[in-house]
Amino acid sequence: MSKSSPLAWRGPVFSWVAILFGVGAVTWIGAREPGGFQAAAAMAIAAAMLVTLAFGLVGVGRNPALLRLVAGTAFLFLALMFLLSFTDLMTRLR
Amino acid sequence: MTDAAAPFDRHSGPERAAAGSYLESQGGGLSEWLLTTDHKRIALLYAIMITVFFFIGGAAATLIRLELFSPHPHFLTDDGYNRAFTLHGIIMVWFFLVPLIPATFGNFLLPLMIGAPDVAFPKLNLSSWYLTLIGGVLVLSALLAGGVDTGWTFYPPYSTAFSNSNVALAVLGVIVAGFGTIATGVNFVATVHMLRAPGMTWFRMPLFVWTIYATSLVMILATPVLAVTLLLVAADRLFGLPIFDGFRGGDPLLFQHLFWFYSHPAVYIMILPAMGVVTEVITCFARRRVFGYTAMIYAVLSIALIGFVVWGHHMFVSGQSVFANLVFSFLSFIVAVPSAIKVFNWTATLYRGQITFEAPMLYALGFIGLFTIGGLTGLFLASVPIDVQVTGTYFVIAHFHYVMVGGAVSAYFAGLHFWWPKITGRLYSEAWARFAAILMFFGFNFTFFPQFILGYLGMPRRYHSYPPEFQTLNVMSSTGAVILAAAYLLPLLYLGWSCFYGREAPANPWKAKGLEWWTSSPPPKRNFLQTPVVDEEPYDYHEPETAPGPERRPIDAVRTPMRFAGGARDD
Amino acid sequence: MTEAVSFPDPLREPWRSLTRQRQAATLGMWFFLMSEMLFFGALFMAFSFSRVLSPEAFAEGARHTEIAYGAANTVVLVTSSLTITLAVRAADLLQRKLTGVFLAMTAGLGVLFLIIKGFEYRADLEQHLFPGANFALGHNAAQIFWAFYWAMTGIHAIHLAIGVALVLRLVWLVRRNRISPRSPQFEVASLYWHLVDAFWIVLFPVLYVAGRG
Repeated sequence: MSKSSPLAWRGPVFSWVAILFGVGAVTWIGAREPGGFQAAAAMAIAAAMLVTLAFGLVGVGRNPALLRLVAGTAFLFLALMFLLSFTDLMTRLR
Repeated sequence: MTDAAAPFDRHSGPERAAAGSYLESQGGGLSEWLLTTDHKRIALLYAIMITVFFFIGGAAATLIRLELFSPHPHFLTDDGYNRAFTLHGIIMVWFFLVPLIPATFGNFLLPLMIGAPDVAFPKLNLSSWYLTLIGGVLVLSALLAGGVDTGWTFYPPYSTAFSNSNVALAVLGVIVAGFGTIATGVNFVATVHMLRAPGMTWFRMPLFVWTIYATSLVMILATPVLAVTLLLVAADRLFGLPIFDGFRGGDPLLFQHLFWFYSHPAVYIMILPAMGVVTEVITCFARRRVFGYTAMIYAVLSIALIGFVVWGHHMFVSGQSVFANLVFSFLSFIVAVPSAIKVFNWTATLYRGQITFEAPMLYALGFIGLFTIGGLTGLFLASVPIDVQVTGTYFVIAHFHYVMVGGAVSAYFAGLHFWWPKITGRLYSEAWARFAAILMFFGFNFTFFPQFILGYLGMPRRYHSYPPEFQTLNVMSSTGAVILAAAYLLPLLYLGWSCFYGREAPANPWKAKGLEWWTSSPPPKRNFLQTPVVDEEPYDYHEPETAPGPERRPIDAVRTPMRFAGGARDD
Repeated sequence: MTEAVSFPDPLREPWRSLTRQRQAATLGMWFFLMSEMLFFGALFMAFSFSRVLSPEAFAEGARHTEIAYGAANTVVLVTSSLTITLAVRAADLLQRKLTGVFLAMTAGLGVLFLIIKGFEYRADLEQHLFPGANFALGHNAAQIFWAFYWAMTGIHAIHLAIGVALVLRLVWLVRRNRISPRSPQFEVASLYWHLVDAFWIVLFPVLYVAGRG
């Protein structure tokens, strides 16, 4: 960090543009006729936008492993919450 | 050198708060305490708050046990009884048991045990206290406005659509207190990661610190789920947002999944720190290194992790699928294993120890017995066929009171006596303390053991009328509660007395290991005059591969162990 | 070039080194973000659970969300994540004015989001899309979809409002030279802001797109 180096704006701006493309894609999918693969495609693009945000704007990549562990832990426990709740839901007798 | 025959020091008093200690007044009056950022003072603020809440929750318990003296309702209406047990649950769970050990001993001791001058975020620490306080005030407002009658579990659709009580106010209080808990968890985790003294590596930390760390992780991960779930209940009450409404296609079981996803790990928030306290006390009073230090750590972490995937055992008869019942039952059996490992390791720690029976040790030994009974009955409840018979009965009530009261509260009293000299700089009366410990053990068992039998015989919980053939056991339980109440009042008296007239405590009256004993009693404001450098293994009570010799017992230094001015001495 | 101004010392008790303090603040904020992920994640779980229970009613309810509002808001919020990232970088370079400008843009975009949301809420209410006796789509699980809509966007909006307040406070402190550019508060605020944006990035497709089919 020195006073004389310029602001490194390129990385964040490129990430921003990429995410905007994602927003456009999701909007386009939503404006079409509803279909089965709509949901899956929209969520896949959302995941890609999240990853871009995390690595391009938040800078998760340059953080120590501990911080990635923290983020991963949250996803792990959410996965357990989903998994076990849906185990109940999907195995109920109708 | 102190005179064994001297009675209490009549010239003791608050003005003798050791010069330079954290207790010493800086001239700021009350605001010095209410605006403090010193973790030790915040610990005391919490201790006072939870004591007040304990008495409120205890008052509710008194109403319950009084009512249950006779089989027919005699002074509470059905509705009034519902409000009594609801208040008892809400206050005792969130405003007593959850903060009980982490907010008091965790706050006071965590920085001391790792050689730090304070926690990572001192101002956030004070905010945690205020958040808990505000939450408590909101819940008490709900009480004063007439109470809540849903049970502490707030199940919809009753809580959302049918209850005519102050549900929204109560859940908002719990939500606010929950944010305080999360803040405390964040603070403690950051403290352990970033403020350990030189030489204090992860595997040299006392087990109490490890349990606080694991507890803090559970707080961070579980509490937000409670907050958002109760927020949805509040949104339903206040704005008519019908998420759990069966008539419109919602599922009340969704609430139960979300609620118990928090509430089961919550009980591990209550018990893990208690286990940490017990390890500190047992090692000191058996003069032993802990058996299986590393295994104890992995056991604590396993309990914290597996505790997140067992919540469905609260829902075996709710309409949850049979397959889910199987899965949760299996996982619930698994979670008992690391707890059992800890019990075995405490027992092995005692083996070939030089055991003495000061009050902290009495409470800790009581913990081992009572926690084991509670834990084993938990296994009965993990078994679906048994649970189907005893769920919703007094068997469950007895089970969780054995682990939470027989377990966590006993451990709290163990820690209270163990660290009392450190916190206050005074020695308490050992004779009274031992008497109270034994009285509590008997009172507790008189109160709660009959409840196992009542539950097995079929007495439902949350009912205030019951078949007359259950009266004998209920009277036994209510009588036990009177004894238990006396045993809880006694420490208030003799510990309070010691604050004014107790003998001054040396830095390490128990000759214990641990960084907190390296500094004065009470500690100075910044904890250590010089940053400690750690080069010792934890619990270094004797050479490895050997057992302690009899000459190392602190009791040998005490010439008149049962004298009124008692407590171990530093000659 | 930076002005020769003296800032309050950002070092706080009990820290002895600013580097450690900043690391601790970042670590602490990440653990708080972990709790927030569980907070919102539980809402998503509840939504998914309810959707599986009533797929047709949810689809019907979802068809009445207005994707134009959602898309506009997403663009606004993502742009604000860019501006706050640039603000943090400017602070690292000790560029006070630029930091203030980017922070103010961030807060402004946050307020714009809330304004657009306000218009959207008004439109929804005019169409009787609020659960209750006057609900437009009948007494069925479409009400539950909309209950989630109001609850999730409402909770998100509250989080965003808190973020706006935090950022505005930083703008004020920067303008008054009452905060050092080396303070950990910039990084901490930006982490919180990015999280609020991240929730919206997931919420937008879930509520406005994925539900329709």
